[in-house]
Amino acid sequence: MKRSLTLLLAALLTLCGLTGCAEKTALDPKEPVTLTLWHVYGEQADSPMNRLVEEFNSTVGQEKGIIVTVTNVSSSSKITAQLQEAMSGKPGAPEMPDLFSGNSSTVAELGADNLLDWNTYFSKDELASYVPEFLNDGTMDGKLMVFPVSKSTYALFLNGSQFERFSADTGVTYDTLSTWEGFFDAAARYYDWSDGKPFCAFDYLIRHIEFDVMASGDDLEYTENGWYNTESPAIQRSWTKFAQPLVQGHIAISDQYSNTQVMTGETLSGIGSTAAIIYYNDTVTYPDNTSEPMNLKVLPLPRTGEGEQFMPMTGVGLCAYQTTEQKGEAAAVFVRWLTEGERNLAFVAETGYMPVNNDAFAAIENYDFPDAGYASLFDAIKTMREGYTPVVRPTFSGYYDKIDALYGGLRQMMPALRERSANGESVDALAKETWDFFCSIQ
Amino acid sequence: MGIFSAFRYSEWSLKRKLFGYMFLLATLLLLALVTGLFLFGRFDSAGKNTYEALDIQLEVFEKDVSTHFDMLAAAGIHLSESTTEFLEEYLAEHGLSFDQLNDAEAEIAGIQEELIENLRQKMLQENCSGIFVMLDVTVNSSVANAECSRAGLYLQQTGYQNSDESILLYRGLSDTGKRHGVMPHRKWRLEFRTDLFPNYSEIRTLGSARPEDAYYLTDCFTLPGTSERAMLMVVPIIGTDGTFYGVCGYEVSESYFMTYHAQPTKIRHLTCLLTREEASLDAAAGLSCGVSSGYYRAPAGILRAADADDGLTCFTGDGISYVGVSRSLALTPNNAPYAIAVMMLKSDYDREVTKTALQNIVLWSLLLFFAVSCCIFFSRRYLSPILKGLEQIKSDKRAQAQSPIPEINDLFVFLAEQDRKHEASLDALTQEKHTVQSENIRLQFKFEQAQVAYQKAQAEYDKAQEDLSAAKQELDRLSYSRKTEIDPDDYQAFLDGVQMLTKAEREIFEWYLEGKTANEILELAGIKQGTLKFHNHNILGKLGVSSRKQMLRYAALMKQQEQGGLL
Repeated sequence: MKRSLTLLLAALLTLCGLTGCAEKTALDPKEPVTLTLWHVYGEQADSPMNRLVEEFNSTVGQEKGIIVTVTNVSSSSKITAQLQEAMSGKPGAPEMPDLFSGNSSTVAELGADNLLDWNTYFSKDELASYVPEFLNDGTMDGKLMVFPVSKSTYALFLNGSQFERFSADTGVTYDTLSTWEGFFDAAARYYDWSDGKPFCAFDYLIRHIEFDVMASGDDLEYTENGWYNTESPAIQRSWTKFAQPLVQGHIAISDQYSNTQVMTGETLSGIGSTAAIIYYNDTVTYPDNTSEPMNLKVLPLPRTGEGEQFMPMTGVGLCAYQTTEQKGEAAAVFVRWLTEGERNLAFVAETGYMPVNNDAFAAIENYDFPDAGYASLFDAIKTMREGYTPVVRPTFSGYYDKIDALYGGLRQMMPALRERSANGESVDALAKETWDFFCSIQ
Repeated sequence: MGIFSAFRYSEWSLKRKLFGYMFLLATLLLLALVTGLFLFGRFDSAGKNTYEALDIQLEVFEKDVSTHFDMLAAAGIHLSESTTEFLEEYLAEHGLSFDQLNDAEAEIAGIQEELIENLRQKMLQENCSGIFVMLDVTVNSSVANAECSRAGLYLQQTGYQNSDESILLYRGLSDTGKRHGVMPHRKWRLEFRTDLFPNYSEIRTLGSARPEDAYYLTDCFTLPGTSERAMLMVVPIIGTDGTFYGVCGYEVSESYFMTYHAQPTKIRHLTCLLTREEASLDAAAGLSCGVSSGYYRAPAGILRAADADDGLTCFTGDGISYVGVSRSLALTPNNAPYAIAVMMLKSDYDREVTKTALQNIVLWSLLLFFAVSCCIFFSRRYLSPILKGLEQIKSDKRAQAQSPIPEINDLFVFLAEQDRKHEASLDALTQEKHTVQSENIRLQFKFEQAQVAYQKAQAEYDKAQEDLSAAKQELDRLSYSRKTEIDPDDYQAFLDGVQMLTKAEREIFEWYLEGKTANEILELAGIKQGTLKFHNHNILGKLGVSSRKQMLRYAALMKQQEQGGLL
């Protein structure tokens, strides 16, 4: 009897020892953990991310005990404010999600201490399979706070059908649009050709002014307030360069998203995030309900001079709200699955983003896009990746409030400025008014 | 009562018997407890508990959905009436008939301009993700598919965030929207498409229905250009002259339904579904929601229904199974009833069943273990002083023994008293025994003497017997020899004389007949010799004999005759 007991105890201890050696996990398929997710992929449209979430839930999630629930699909411009509201816990505020799309400014607003450091869950070997510059973009004080899922930049989207007619009538070609000089010239000609319609709507005009300063060989200077140094002649020069076609109505600040203005025929083109491609309809519909195929054409951003060119590196990654160890582990499983080579490639190919996985990045060159517009987009991205230097956007506190004030003010000013320009007022003077408004923002 | 008899008469030890009684008591108490718990439903199966929880949840969900769509129907009817009123005023003001709105871009823009703010307000007032007014006219009847293209306004808000009041223009003139701060939707179109509008032909026929019944809930469909699914509460817009002006109503998108109807519940992985009523539930044909704590996993595809235990239904889909309850729900008079269901993951349910079974096993084991342990413990605790007392009673030292039980102590005192009495009795008996032994010895001696005397007397007796026998033989011989010598008259006189003898004489006569000697008769009768002689004289005289010898001869003859002898 004693011998049997000893053997039993020995067996139990061995079993315990072996269990201890096995990989410890807080996940339990019998007690699945729910992760709420706010993302920005496919807002108001067909969301590839929602489909991936469903796929995850029915495969790896089911196997490991993770259920991801999408509780908000927002936009990168709104999500930080919504997260701040959720975090405030005010009456009526939504629950803070476990996972959310965000960028470095989101981290700054929410506080790095409240967010998960992905380095805790990813080994150096695993991280080596991601594009280093994208990882760096999400790293703050040595902590990987924003895990790159997809990265975007800006591109020029054109209504190909209308451009063809415009080109036939004016001789303007896509090559003309490769420089800002050619672009503004084409815009002026389009304005005349279309009886006063803007050639292009800009989603983020100020970024192009920044790049123009930098591409001209000047330093981009900021004040301590986190705003542009308006004492810098370089920035005034570049501002004026963009303000002149703006006040004449050759170009426009987009109402919200440039793609809607292209779809409604208000403008021939729009400059916005490469991720906007998902929102472009197949057709352009005019106010008289006539329509024509969009034949979307995507071009790289126009260049400034012959020097170094710059492109924005935008696109949110995934941040995780620090709650429990189990949720942290679950979030890492989801993110790891989401950014695997082929899945990342398929996701970005559908959404117009740049892949973040090295394998996916290499494979996208040979990807067979079913849509000519998407093929055109990735050609443009490839051109810019090879010839432009990516620049991350400023992360100063309060910066985006100022940006919103800038665009809102310009939108209000534009109808009157365009009318005054049409009435023959000095373009330089009108452009100066916009500069003065720009300088008034502090 | 058999079990008590078995206990009572069984040859179990005191400990075992007490344990038996206590165990019986514990068992009876447990049975009473279990019966009570059972009657009060504390031992209901996991299936029954799940059914009750889901049934309550279903009632809540049903009420939520029913109230929600009732409110939308009422709002839709009001929207229809107010739109009719507005249109007829507008048309009258502009001197137009309704048909003249076709191809009238400016007039349609004017109508949208005046409608948009009203629609925005109504959308914010109602629990919906969108609002629309679709007029039965088009801005350009010359374009392809113009017969399907209809002008109107369709405003939407994101379904995920109720607090988000950023409204988008899904259908309508973008300029009109922008003027009112309503930006075009990412998948904006100028006009509606009736060929994409769900159940449009059925809705058109509602114009003949009573105004309060003229509302229709469309099939669940995917909003064109998006991945969002939705149902529309649609009401026809009918002119006072019966002209069909179009339709209006409210949208409930999948994300809005999921957010608005998320159920507050303790069931962690709950899925609620509203769909067409069919033998199997088609999740793609309806809307669903999860729980307010965050869990939501949209059911996909067909969920095949099969009866399960305790009134539950098992819903099996592709790669996922649920257990739940469902019922029929009529939402509008113009739609077939819907099926409404609340379901939990079958894996959760199975785990709950297993957990309940394990809990019951553990509970029963604990109760049994507790009962047995208590019985053993208390029977030991109770019996140990008694058994110790009994052991002490058996031992020699019980006089000094002490027990925690007063009754045992009383018993010790009683037994000590008894012991003393026994000792006294024993002493007395010992003394008596000695006396008896002495007496016995003495009596034995006397007995032996008596035996010697007896043997001597026996020898004398034997000799006397021999003498008697010889005398009898002599008497017989004499009787036989004298028989013929006896005078019958004398003998008769003798016999008569015997009758005349007194008691004393007869006694003496008998002793003579027995062969007693004169001395023996003196001793036996206790009389003097003179008295004997006197009696002898009288006896012989009465018997008419001359001597004792003759008397004995006649007497022997008489005896023989009395004994049926030879005479």
